[in-house]
Amino acid sequence: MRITDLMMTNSFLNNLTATKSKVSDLQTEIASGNTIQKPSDSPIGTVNIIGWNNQINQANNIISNISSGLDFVNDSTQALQNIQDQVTNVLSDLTQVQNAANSQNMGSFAEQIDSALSLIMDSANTESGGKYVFAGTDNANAPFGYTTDGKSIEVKDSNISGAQYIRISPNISDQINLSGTDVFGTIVNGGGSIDSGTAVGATVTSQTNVYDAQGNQYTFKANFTKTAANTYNFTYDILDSSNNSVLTSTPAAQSMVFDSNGNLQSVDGKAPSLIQINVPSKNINFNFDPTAVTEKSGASSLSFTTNQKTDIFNTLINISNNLKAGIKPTTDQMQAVTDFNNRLINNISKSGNIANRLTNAKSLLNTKTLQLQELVSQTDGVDVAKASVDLTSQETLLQMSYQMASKVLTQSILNYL
Amino acid sequence: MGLSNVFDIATRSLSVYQGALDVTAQNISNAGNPDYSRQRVVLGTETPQQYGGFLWGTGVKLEDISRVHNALTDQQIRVNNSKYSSSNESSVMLGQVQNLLNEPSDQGISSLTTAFFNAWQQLSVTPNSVALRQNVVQAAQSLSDQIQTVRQGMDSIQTDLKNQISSDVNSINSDLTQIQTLNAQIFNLQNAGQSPNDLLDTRDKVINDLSNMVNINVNYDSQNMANISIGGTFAADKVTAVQFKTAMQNGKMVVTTKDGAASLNLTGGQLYADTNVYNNTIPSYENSLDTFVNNLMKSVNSQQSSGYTLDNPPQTGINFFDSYTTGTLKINDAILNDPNKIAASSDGTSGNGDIALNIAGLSTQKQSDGTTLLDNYSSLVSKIGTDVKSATDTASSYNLVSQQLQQQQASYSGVSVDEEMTNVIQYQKSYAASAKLVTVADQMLQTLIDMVS
Repeated sequence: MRITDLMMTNSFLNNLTATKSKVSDLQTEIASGNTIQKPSDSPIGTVNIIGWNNQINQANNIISNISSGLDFVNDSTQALQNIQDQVTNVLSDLTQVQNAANSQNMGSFAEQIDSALSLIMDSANTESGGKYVFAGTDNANAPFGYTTDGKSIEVKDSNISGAQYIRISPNISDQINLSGTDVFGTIVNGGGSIDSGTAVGATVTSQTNVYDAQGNQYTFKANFTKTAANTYNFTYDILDSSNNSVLTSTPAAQSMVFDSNGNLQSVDGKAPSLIQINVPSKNINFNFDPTAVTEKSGASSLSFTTNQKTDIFNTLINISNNLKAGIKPTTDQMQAVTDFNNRLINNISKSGNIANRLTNAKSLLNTKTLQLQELVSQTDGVDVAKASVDLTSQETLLQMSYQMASKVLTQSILNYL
Repeated sequence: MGLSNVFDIATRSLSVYQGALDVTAQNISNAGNPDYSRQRVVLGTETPQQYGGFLWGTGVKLEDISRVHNALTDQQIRVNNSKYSSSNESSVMLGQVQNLLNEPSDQGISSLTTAFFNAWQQLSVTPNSVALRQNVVQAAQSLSDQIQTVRQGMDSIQTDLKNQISSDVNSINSDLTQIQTLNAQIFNLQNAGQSPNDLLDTRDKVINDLSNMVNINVNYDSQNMANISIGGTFAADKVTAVQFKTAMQNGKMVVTTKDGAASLNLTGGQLYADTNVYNNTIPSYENSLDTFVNNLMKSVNSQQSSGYTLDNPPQTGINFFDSYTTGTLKINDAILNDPNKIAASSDGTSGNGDIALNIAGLSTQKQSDGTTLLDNYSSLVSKIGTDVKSATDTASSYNLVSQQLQQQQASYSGVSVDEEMTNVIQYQKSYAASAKLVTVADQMLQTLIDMVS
């Protein structure tokens, strides 16, 4: 083959460019720590890295949120334990006060119960990170407080039954709060069934006793008027002992829709939840839970049960007032406190379960993050030792090219003429 | 035969070797010119004369100065040029689009989208926090800015391409005019019995330049005239140089003859790459990006408008994004001015973060086509990366072929200084010997003159 000067120059330059390109790539890799600088370096690798980094960022964010959630749950648990300590003291006082020997000390017991009530109120209004833990989703203000006449305690917020959710995995959300209703609220649990053969326009009713803050009895009457197949308008009334309505205005009808299995599907187009019923003028405050009401063929058989007559706050106020008047606590009142204590224990257990779920989720996410980081590292990470050796090798080649060029390219027959 | 014949042979020899040295000098001076084809002196013997029953030689003559060239290699180089230029130009232009994406990095759309959804997730934990609401707005603003940077960057590259295409067409018109002029000059010199070697080199260089721009077909007629066609459309010969222009047809940039009668069917070269990226590739990328952003906007707005703000009383029916047009994702001014207008609550209570949680969940939620929002964007990144890699790899491959073909051409047509200097020595010695011959003949003639004087 005929070798010309241009060939040698071109050959030298082409090889030099290739070697310098490799040196440049290796230097960039070592300096950046990444093998993929741009999508064209590895289109599939880039997409994987984008996906993995997305998951890592998301997981880190969820971990951070879980940590905040855990603080919230721990504060809630602590508040519940504080309340339970006071309730235990109250139960002890109520047992002691039954003893005839303590008949003269009822005023003192009343003071202890007032003190316990004050501490329970304080714990019920516990704040965590700017949020009142038992205030549901209306948590910017303290949920419980005295009525304007100072005689009883009422719910101050519009909705203490709201559930607060946080994401504990990319696809799962979990409730982190125990609502004020869960812990303290009076709940009328709807049950039984409505006859699916009820004619449109006909009304099925059911009723149960409810109580005001002072323990006075009223009747809660629920009406289910059929408007279409599987659809009913729900209305209610609160009646006093003379069977007169104590409502100042008629509540708006709420549309309840049952699914094909007879389960309650929606209330006013939303997922079924507690319906808060509040009559401030009578200090009546409770929640109606319609979720267990069903529709099925056969005679209607609705049945409502109530979890408590009055809440713990007003129960304690009533006990204290009785003690101050020299009246011992009734069996019903003692049972109410005992029931609340059991309810507290359940709620503390629930709170502990929430904390465990959050901790487990956090642990899983930490493990997942580590695995994803490993994948990113395997795909995009630089083997510095290998890269350094390769760089040294390429630099040696580069120097050899320069030396060869200096020896060969400068030589011609002219040097010997 | 007389002594004068020796003088004639020696004088002719001096002239021939001087000419040979001229050609060698031309070769040596063009040793570094990559477009130069070496020239070779073809020596022959002069026609002999008959005298005294013998044929007597009359010396050397310069038969031809030939151009050493391989037309087949030229043709291969041109075909390869078109393919290389097309791939290389695509690689460069798409590389610019790729750089706009800034992926994978913390500042790419993917990371900023994740940051946007993460901001919603943080807000869902404390939905009444003004700081976290501000964080959502800032994350949205950063995402919007990056989308605008990428989208308008693509528009800007398209504008550059439009200018580049016009410049390409001007260059093609100039090359065609040059080829036509060179054809005419070569024809005239050939008719005058000359060897227009340098003009042939110049014409080859212009044709090579043209092959970098477009896919051409070159035919040489019996008079060695180069007839050029581009994508099946006649472009230039000895008499005519067709001029081309750019035009918009059905929203696409095409190249037609000046009179608009014919459109070029481009399949290779820089102009093909520029028009293809302008007409097809970038619009396809922009369409994918727009789809991603529109889906994002609709999904977020759908959730947002069903939620309640932190106002007193809470408002509903407020969109988070106002619009997305020509790369600008506009955040609702009401939200920009007052983050409390973000609707994070599903029931109007300040501690309810259901809507924020739902929006955060959009990042992993499958759409009707079974992909997530970010999957669509990742597909775009992958497509651009694959396109760039493919173009770059193809260009590298053609570049290797190009290097080999150029080496082949350099081996055949290139100047070897060693070879030329050897020729110099050879011609110099022949010249010196011829001069000595004149001296010898002169001495012989002087001897004769001295005999008679």
